[in-house]
Order: sequence, then C-alpha cells, then structure tokens
Amino acid sequence: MKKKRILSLILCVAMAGTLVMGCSSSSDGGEGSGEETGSSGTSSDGKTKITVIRPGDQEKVQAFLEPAVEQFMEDNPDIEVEIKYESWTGWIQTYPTYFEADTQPDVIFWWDNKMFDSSAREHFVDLTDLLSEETVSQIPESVWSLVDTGDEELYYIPSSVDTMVLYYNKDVFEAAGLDPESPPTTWDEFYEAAKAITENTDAAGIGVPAITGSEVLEEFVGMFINQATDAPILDENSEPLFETDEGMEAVEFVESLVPYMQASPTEYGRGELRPLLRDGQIGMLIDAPWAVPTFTEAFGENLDESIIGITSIPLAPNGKQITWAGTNGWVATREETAEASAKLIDWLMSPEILESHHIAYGSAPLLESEFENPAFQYDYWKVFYDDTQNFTLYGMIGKNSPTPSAYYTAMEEVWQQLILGQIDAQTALEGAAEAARGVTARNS
Amino acid sequence: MSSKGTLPGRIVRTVLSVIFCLFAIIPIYMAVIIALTPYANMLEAQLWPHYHEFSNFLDAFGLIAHNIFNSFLYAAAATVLTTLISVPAAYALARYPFRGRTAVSFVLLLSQMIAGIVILPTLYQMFNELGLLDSSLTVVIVYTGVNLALVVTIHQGYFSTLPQSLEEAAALDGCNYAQLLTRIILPISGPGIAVGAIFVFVNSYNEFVIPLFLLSDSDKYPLTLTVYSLLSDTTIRWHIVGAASLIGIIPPVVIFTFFQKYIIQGVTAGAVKG
Amino acid sequence: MTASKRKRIVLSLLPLAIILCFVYGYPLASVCISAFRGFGGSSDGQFVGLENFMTISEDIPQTVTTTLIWTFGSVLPAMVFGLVIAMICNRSFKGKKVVVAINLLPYAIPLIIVASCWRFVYNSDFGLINVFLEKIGLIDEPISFLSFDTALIAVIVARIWRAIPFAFMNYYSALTTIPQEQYEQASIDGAGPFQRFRYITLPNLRATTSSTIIVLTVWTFLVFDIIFGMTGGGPIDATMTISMRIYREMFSMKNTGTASAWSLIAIFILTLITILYWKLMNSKEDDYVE
Repeated sequence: MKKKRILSLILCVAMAGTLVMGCSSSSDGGEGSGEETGSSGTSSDGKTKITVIRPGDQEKVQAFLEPAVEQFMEDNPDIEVEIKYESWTGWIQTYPTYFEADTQPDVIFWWDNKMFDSSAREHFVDLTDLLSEETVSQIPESVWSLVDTGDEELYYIPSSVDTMVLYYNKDVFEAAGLDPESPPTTWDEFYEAAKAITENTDAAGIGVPAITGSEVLEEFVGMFINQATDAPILDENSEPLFETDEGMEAVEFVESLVPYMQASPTEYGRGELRPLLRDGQIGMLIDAPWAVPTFTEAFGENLDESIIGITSIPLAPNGKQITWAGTNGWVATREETAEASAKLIDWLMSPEILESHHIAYGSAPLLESEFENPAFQYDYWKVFYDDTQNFTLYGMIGKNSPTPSAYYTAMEEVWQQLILGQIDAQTALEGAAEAARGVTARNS
Repeated sequence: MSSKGTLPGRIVRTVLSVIFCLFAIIPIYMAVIIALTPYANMLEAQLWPHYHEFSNFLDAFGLIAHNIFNSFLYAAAATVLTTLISVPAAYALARYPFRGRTAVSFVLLLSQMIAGIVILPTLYQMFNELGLLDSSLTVVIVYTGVNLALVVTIHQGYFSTLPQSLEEAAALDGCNYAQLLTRIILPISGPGIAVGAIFVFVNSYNEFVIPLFLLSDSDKYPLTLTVYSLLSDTTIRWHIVGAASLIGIIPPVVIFTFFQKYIIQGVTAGAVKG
Repeated sequence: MTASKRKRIVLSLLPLAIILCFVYGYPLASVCISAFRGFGGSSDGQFVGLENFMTISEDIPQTVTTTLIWTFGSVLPAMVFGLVIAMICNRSFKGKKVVVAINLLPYAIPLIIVASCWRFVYNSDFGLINVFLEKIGLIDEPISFLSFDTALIAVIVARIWRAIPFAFMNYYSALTTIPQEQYEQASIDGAGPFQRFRYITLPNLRATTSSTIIVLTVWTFLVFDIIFGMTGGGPIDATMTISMRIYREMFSMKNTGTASAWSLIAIFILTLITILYWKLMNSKEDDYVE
C-alpha cells in the first residue's frame, strides 16, 4: 500500500513536471525551427542571421570553424552566424529531410556528386556575382574540371580535394622480402607485392573496405576502372561507360586481388582498416588523406620517418596518371541570405582559413602557399598535392542524377559479390552496368 | 508444483537458469568491456576488462547529454498527451455499451499490428506537405499516435474493474462528466494509469525509426539516433559507442526493474510490442 | 441512450479518433494510393498501375524469403526459450528474483542499442565469442559472424535475445493461473513430469501461446532497427528484409511509390500469417480435449 502511494506521488510530480516541460518544449520546437532556419533570415535587430554546417567529427570541425566564424562576425557586425554540428553518416541520412523541410543551413559543406540531388538541387544559389575573384581563381584547373557540372552558373566552391594514394607498412614489406623504399608503381608490381605479403607473412596483402551501406567499395573498384578506361564511371546521362575491354581489365584485376585481401572484407569500412595497417595486420591500403591522422597519432607528425609509407597509386597498364578524387566544397542554399552566405564562403576560402581547415581535418593542401605552414613540411604531403596538380582526376558517381546515392547501393551489391568470390569478373561487369542502367531508367 | 522437486531436476534447472542468465547478460557485459578500453587498445582480446578508462563515460556523456534530455522530453510529452487522450476514451469504451464499440476496439487492435516502417514513407510525405518535417512537435504527435491503442487497452481493462456504484454516487453528488473523471475516477486509477504511462514512456524513449524518418537537425535528436550516428561513423569510436549505449539504457532499465510487477501486468493485459 | 450520453461518448472518443486518423488512417490510405503512383521521372504523380510492383518484382522472392526466415527463425526459438525460463521460475528457489530480473532486462533496451551491443559481441577483432573460442583453443582464425553466410543467423540471435523476455513474461503469468489441483490429481493418477507437461501445462497455455506468437510474429516481421544497425541489409542482400527495402526505396531511390508497394506486400503477408495462425490454433483445439 505504501509503495502504491509513493508510486502515485512520483507519477503526479512527473506528470505535472512534464506537462510544463512538454508544453514549453513543443512551442520551443515550433518557434525555434521557424526562427533559426526559417526563410526570413533577418532578425529584429537588423542583423542577417545565417547558419553553417561542416559535417564531420565535431572536435575537428570546432577547432577551425569556431575561431573563423568569430573573426568573421567581428569583421561583419551586420551578420550573425550559427554553427551546426553533425557527423558525416548522420548528415547523409538526414540531408534529404532538411531540404524537404526547408530547414537546411544557409551555408553547407557539400559534395561535387550531389549537385543534382533531387531534394537539394533547387535550393542551391548561383554565386557568380557574389563571390570575390580571388576565391575562384586560386583553385587549380584540374579541380574545376572535376566539379564542372556543365553550367555557366557557379553553385559550388571546392575547398578540399582528396585523392586516393597507396599507404603501405614498411615493416610488413621487409618481412615479406620486399624493398620498403621502392613501393609498387604499376598494377603488376602491386599484385606481386600483395601476393608476396600474403604468402610470406601473417599479414594480408591489401585491405579492402566493403562494408554495406557506405560508398567505399564502389570507390575502391571504381578507381581501377577510371584508371584503365581513362573515363568516368557514368557519362553525363548517367549511362555506364565501363563495358569495354579496358573496363574488363580493371574488374579482372580486382578479382585477381581477392585471395590477398583481409578476411571478411564486408565487415570493414575505411576507418576500421587503418588500425590494421598501423599494427601490421595488412600490408597495403588504398585510402585518401583522411587516413593520415590515425598514423600521426601513433607515430608522430613526421610520417616520412615512420613505418608507414605513402606513395602515388600504382598505374594501370596504359601508364596514364589517373586517380580517384573526391571534392568537398561550399554551397549557399537561400536567396534571401545569399549575400551574407557568399561573404562567409569568401572568408572560409581565404588562404589562412583554408589552411587551418585542412590542418584541423586532415585534408591535403590545395594551394601551394599552404606548404609554408610547418604542419605541411613533410614530404608525404607532396604526394597528395602532386596528385591534385598532375593527375587526371575522376570523381564520385551520380553527378548528373537526382538520386546519386542509388548508384552506390545498386552497384555495391554487385561488387560485394565479386569481392566475396560469388561471381566472376565478366558477370560483375555486366551486373554493375545493368544495375547502373536500372537506376537511370527508373529516373527517366 | 511448489515443492523442491528431485535432485536431477534441480540440477537441470540450475544449469538452464545460469545459461539463460549468461545469454541475457553477455551483450551488456561486452559493452562494459568496450566502454572501459582506451581506443588505442581496442584490438586487444579481453575476456574481462583489462582497462579502467572511466573517462570514456565522461566523454560519451558530454556527447549525448543533450540527446538524453531530448529523449526524456519527447517521451514525457508523449506520455502526458497519450494519457490525456486515452482516459476519457477508455472510460467511454469501458462503461458505455454503444453501437460501434466493437469497431473501435478492432481499429485499436489493427493499429497495434501496423509497424511504423510501413506508414513512415507516406507519413513523411504528409508532414512534408504540411511543412512539419524536422519538428519536435511532430515527433511527439506520432509517438502519441503509435502508443494510443496500447494505452487505451490498458486503461479500458483497468476501468472495467472499477465498481459501477462510483458513478451513481457521483451523479447523486451532482458531478458532471468531466468532474466525474477528474475527481472520482482519476484519483483511484493510479495503478492503471501508471502501467500505461510506463509503457508509453519506455516505448517512446526507445523509439528509433520514427525520428530517423522525421528529424534531421542533430540538435533535436533523441539518444537512439545519436547512438546510431556514432555506430556508423567512418571511424567507429567503439569505446564511445559502448559507453553511450550503457548510459543510454540506464533510464529504461531502472524503470523496468523498479516497476517490474506493473510491466508484467501490462504485458499480459494485452500491451503488445514484442 | 440519451442525447447527452451520446454527445459524451463522441466527445470522449474524438481526440483519439483524430490522432489515429492523422497518424494511421491517412498515411495508410495514402500507402494504398502511392503504391500505384509514379514518383520522380516522367510519370511523377500519375497513376501507373502495377509499374511500381514490376520495378521491384525481381527482388520480391529473395526479400520475402529472407523476411520469413528472419521472422520464424527468431519467433519460434524465443517462444520455446521463454517457456523454459517461465517453467524454471514457476517454482520458488533461492535467487529467483534475480533470475527473473535478468531475463527481463533485454526487453528494456532500445533496439538500436541491442544492435550496437551485438556488434561488439560478433566483432572479429575483439568480440567476446571469438576471444573466448580462441582462448580455449577451439579456433585459430576468428569467425566472421557478420559475413554473407552467417549474417542472417547473427541478426536472428540478436532478435531472439530481445524477444525472449516477452514470451517469458506471458508464460510466466499464464503458468500461475493453472490450478494446482490439476497437477495433484494427475500425480495421484501416476502421471510423470512429461505427461503432466503434455496434458496439463500445454493445453492450459494454448490461449497464451496463440496470442503471444501472433504478436511476436507481427512485430518481428517488420523490425528495422536491429538489422539496420548491425548489417544495413548486407553483405550483398543477406539480411535484406522488407523493412530494409522500404527504407532503401525511400531514402536511396527517393521513391515513395516503390516504398509503398513494399509496405502493401508486407501488410498482405502479415494478414495471411495471422489468419493462418488463427486457423492452426483453433483446429488444434480438438487435440487437447480431455
């Protein structure tokens, strides 16, 4: 009986409390979403209010974005900037809802392949007349060609370019009887090295990220296809371009690597493979500059002196310097705040902020001036920089499609079957092309 | 069957209960090991915790404190709203044999059979057209909707056990319907309402699919979405996921342990959701 | 019935009706319409007949099979294990309270956290099962539980873990309602423990079994969180159930039409299963007549 009385007492208090909270919370929610992100963009004190998001690990984003925004608001007292935080996966899951609800931030760190995304497309603002000349002219030609969406307008300002390079563990190389100072430069040498490592050591030759629902496996296989065909995966009508002898050569090459991959590739994303390379459980890994922090954390800033080697991607039999690259950059999403947004983008693209952004987030330098910073003094950064300058870059798939991510999910299933040895290269090539055509057909 | 039973029977029972208890506890135990390990040592094989990195819990709490608060808020608001709507409805269903009562009960049963994932695509579309996506209010309304059937069933069951004479006494005192409910019925219905409230609260706190479809702003995320966010990061910080999971299950586990009797009562009264 | 009483009933039920229409009625009607409408592309907004079903037709057999294996593979073991624990706890012994509390524990845990905890357990590098098997020398190389061949079993085990408490609770309270005299009488008649179980316990639990199994089936059929958090529907399509398809069509293909088509398929199959169970349970009635 006593228990019952206590129980009902607790409940009464809880109910009363939550009634108050509940009411205030719902009205908060309602008003809040209208105010922060609503289309008005101007608050009562005449300030333009904008929000900015750079998806990713919050600590790293905070490190460069907070001081940058603070300085910006000091220089532009008429603009008030609020920073939003969100992880990459969270952002990928939720951006469609943001745009449909029209609550998306005003300035967003976006991808080049999602320019035609059906939920986002109509929101992007043409910044041609709003941005400063320096912002646009400082970006290398190779990068512009990567993000060129065929329009005269300027919707997207690339701010970081991440190219694929080859990371390898020198200790593992030595144990396998390979020369740690001459890493593979061609597919044949790459294959031989993977084979030697698997056969002569406890480590697996190469780490392959093949986890479901992420975009990593398509990018891994796609890069070899880019190299062999010297073409993007899909043309501007989103039809597959790889059903050629060269495309076949690439898929067959991936197939030949299967025996030398780590066990259970579908359990690993890129992030889970990096510690394996660090600890010598795999010998080689194809990854972007985002892997660098994992290794500098373990071996210090100067990776040139560590057991981790970094070199350009081995070249296909055609000998052309080609690699996969992804870019991220800034977009503005509201006409009403476009002017303020462009000002912020100009500021975020200024050499000093760009540099602190790259250092904080583990991106490679984009401008030559960045090498003057001690953080970029080591030779391995040159590998990334030279790739961007000298290589032909092919980017992410789905650029011209309203459903870019559908290509990843459709083709991922086929490449997983290839990696797990369920189908041969011929079937995989046809299956992947079929999958891509299927997605395109559904959108027409 | 209340006797001690034979010796072999007792041994079998003991062995089985140990096995089932181990099975029930293993994933939680595993989370404890992970949560206590520094990230750099994660690949090490551990059968029991080799490390005691309690700061992982602080780091995780710092990340999810806001989301736990959100979860509480949504769950509490849904609980209040559900109770307010359910009490009069359940009372009418329990007391007045009107035409169409069976139909109402059938609809309630049916709605319990329909999982959120089936209606969420069109629910998403609907809220999108209404301009109500990415709003905490929307989430609370949907939580209320999906829990109503369950709570009405529980309340109805409880009200039908109350003596009819109460109403007659109230009528003699000149109470109107609202007064009858608030002055007479509510004060003596504590346990029935408590069972319903516990279920709505825990169900809402644990809800994942609804906010996954309807929310995008991470400031509004409930805990479950944040845990998923952590679980699908490019570099999974296992220790943080482990610690966040353990912190996150504290509220429902405490409620379940404390109100165990009511839970069992509710489940057997037809409170579905396996 | 007086007019004021009728008004009272209507007013009492009105808020309930509004919310249910809003959250279930309209969306459900909308599912039925959307499944036959085009979304995106040239047929946007038009009636397209069965085209949405044709688009997904290739995936239907595999996905439905996976969903059925997932459902029955987890519901039936959960029922059996739940009954066993309930039988154990049906008598008094030292530590019974603890056993009950521990076996109820999984029921309190959010499904997405169930997924995260089981991912720890299955992990190839630090997962408890692999570590244990390696320590006792049963295996040299870790088993990858979430690989193509075993991923479905792995997620099913996680689902069983979460479903046992529900079966347990239902059986636990049902067992207490069986009159002791029946057992005593049977003992006097010389019935052994198995006969007592077969002829007294089981018949008395029939109603509980049928309601519990239907509820568990209906809920398991469309569970999303566990698979989403553990495998994302992969590797390849090893754990691709209908609920995963609905999500993919919605957010990867951005197509409410095909997502609704999957929803309709799910509703159709669930109705069939429920009717089937109903028939089965009622026909068995004759067996138990003493």
